[in-house]
Amino acid sequence: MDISGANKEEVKQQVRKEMAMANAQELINNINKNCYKTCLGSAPGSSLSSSDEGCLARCMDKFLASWDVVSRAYVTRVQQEGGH
Amino acid sequence: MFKRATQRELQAFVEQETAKAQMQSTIHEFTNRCWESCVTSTKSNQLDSKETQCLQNCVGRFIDTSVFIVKRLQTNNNF
Repeated sequence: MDISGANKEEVKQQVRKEMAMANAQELINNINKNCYKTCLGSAPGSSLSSSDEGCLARCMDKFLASWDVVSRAYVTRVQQEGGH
Repeated sequence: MFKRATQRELQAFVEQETAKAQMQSTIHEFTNRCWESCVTSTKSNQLDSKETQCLQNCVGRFIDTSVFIVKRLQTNNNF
């Protein structure tokens, strides 16, 4: 018995979904690691202050923007290297 | 169970997705590395032009470094 065309597409869709999830999780972990270090690393207080939260929010935006710049730079370079 | 042709198709699909995942993992690694050397301030929530330039240079020079090392190992057979 063969899996139907629809089921095959479902399998692909499921794989894509899981890959996207893993990618998002990795990104969140990296934001957590880097922004904790930047905003709280040297002196974590007894609770998260509003200025800590402000720093974390700005750091998060910046980290996402950095991820974007880096992926563009990397993809551009890979495409150029493909030419050799 | 899958037909042969379906099996092959899915295998090719998985290989493609694996290559994509490897590329994404490299991008994560570069972002961590380059963030550390380029972004120090979180006074603003936007990258300034200097930081953006630094991130781009960081990616380019890191790749250049790895190309240089491989080339040098190939030309001087001294390892």
